[in-house]
Amino acid sequence: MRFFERFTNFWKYVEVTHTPPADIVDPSPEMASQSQADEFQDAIAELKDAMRKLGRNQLRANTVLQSDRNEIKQILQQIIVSSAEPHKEMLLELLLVVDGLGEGIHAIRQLNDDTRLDCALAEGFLIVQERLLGILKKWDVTPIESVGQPFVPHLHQAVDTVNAVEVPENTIVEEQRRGYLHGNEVLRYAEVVVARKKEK
Amino acid sequence: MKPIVGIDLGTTNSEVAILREGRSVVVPDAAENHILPSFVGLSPTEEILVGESARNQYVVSPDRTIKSIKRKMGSDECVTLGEETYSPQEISAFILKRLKAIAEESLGESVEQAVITVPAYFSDKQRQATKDAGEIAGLEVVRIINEPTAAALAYGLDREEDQFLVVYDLGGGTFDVSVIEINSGVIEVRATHGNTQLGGDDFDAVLVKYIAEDFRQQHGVDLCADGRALARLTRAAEHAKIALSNAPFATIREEFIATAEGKPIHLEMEIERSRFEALINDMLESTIECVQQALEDASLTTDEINEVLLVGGSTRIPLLSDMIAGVIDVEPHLEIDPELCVAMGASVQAGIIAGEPIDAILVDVTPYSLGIEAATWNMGSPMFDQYSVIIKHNTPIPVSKSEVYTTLSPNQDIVEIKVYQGEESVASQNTFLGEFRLEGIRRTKRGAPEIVVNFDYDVNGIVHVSAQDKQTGREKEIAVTAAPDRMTEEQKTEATERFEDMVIDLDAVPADLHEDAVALRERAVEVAESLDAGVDKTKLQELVAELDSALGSQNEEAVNELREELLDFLYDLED
Repeated sequence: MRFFERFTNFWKYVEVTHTPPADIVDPSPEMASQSQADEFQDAIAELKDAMRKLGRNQLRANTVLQSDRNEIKQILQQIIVSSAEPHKEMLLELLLVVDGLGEGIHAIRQLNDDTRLDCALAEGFLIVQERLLGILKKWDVTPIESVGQPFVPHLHQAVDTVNAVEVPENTIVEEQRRGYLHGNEVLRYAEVVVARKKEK
Repeated sequence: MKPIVGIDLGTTNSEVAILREGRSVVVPDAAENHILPSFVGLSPTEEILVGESARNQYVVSPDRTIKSIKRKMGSDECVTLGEETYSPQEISAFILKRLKAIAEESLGESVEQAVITVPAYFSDKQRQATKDAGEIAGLEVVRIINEPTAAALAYGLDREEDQFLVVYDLGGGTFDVSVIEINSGVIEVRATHGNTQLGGDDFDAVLVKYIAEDFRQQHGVDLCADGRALARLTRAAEHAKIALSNAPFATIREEFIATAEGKPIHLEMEIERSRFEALINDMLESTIECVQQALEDASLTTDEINEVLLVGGSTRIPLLSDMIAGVIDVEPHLEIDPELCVAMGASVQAGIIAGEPIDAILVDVTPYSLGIEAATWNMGSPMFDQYSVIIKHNTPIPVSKSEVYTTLSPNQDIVEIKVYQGEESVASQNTFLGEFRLEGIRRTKRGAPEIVVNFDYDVNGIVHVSAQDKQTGREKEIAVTAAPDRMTEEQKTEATERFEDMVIDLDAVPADLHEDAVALRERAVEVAESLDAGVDKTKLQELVAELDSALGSQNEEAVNELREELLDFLYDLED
């Protein structure tokens, strides 16, 4: 019933549109569907706009996210690198162990008691020291040459001088504590005794 | 705007600081050293040496190495380096030039202006000489300020109310104390006193002497007679001195330090903090007398002093803080690294002159004191529930400190460690953080066992508390979290409002425009690279170039427009 009413109403509508006032151009049935098409077109355009807006927002959000992600990646990379790189303090502490072994070897040799036991002990200490130095070398830590070399204040720290005739002035005659480089930077200066000309 | 640097031109060490985004930073050199020894030398190859390398050759070439030139500033006395004669200004200029280079390296631009600090007692002539040294080094010295003034600036005290303060400066080789008046932001030195021949090196020397004597009595060997052994001993003594600032005792161990009767001997010794304190007590007392003298010269009494600032590495000795607090009833400040404080203050002054906004120098410190419950003996009977502080409040973190405790009754084999945070002298009135038991202590008479309690406070506010029975080595540990500051109602409201502000409608409010544009720019560059040459590529590149210039000129409107245009273009391209 209702449907029928609607139906009849529709025809009323059609009738009304078919009896327009004289000054309005009579829209043909084609025109009616044309206006509907326009409405659809408008709706599509509106939807397209909305999609565009959403799409642009998405694009903007994605780019910001991507750039944040890149930044985080970089920071992580730095963290990984810095945690893989041994800390300077740690290397310096490790050097104390190398020193201790060196002192032991030095002490045994100082005893000047060439028993086989002493020799074997010194040799054992030396092997352990070499092993430790091998590990340090992997981290680019290398000893600074000193005895017999000219004194270079960028590498060596003079702790004493001796009057020496056999070697040229300014030559290192004794190393009291070995120095090390980390890459090209001095990790620890070599502490050395340097030859000076005899005071007149 | 060209940067102005702050320089602490010291007798033994010098530092340079800059302001980075309003924060004062001491600039390290390529080898990560923040401190440059104030040494100048001429190398065997006639090269001018400054800093460590010059110090390295001092023993071998004292005639070609200059140290402590600051003591000669303002005098007409000249020094020779090789064939050449130099004025003290010229020698100082070498040091300043190096500091200038360190700052330039870090900033990536040239530095032409500086604020340099001098001791408060420097005469006009000495100040002028310092200024001249700066000019020789190619630095316009925009201001010479007093070292204690710089310390006050580092602590931001010029921005606080009018007050009197004492700046106590004990370095490696010199000591001075200044009484400062701050009046409407103007800092003035009222009096100064000191001893130019006293410092941390003297403390090392007495400790070396003590250890060597002990070793001689035990083994009959004089370590001081052997240069190599003495060098090791000196280094070990210095380390022990530093360790004693945080622990009740320090162990000195030097393997194979000597030989006697055909056998190697090792140096193994434990130094108690109280022993070290007794050794340096007279020297510290003499500095306290200087403090009193300076106060007298300034016509001030101790209770008129509002703050005490500690400067110089040697002020880390805890006894010193206690001694000063005993005379002037305030807790001395040690939050800012005492060795870098003056240079930082100089850079703050530089920032004030340049009209830059300056943030307070921020240091992570413990907001509350941390300690344990302990009993003390009073008139022969124990008093329980006493609070024994191990880490004082306002101590920079991370920090590790320990104290030694003992048992209360005979045959006591268990101790209970209750950890508190707060400032009340009654332990239970503080905030309880945690507790644990250490069992299996050797049964003996009361007071004999030594229980070392260590607090290890890390940057995240986690405190590892451990207790160890020194005799048996038994140890137990817990980790507690130092409770953060409680929020006041006002702070809570503020935080809530801020939080609400943060919840934003993405559509309505664009994200940080700048960040947005920079990210888009990156994307555009990427996309442009992937495109073949053509109209789109050219257009994209043009847009990027335009955005660059808009970003460069900080033109917000143009950035906005270009950002939208770029977004459209990229969207269409990808669509």
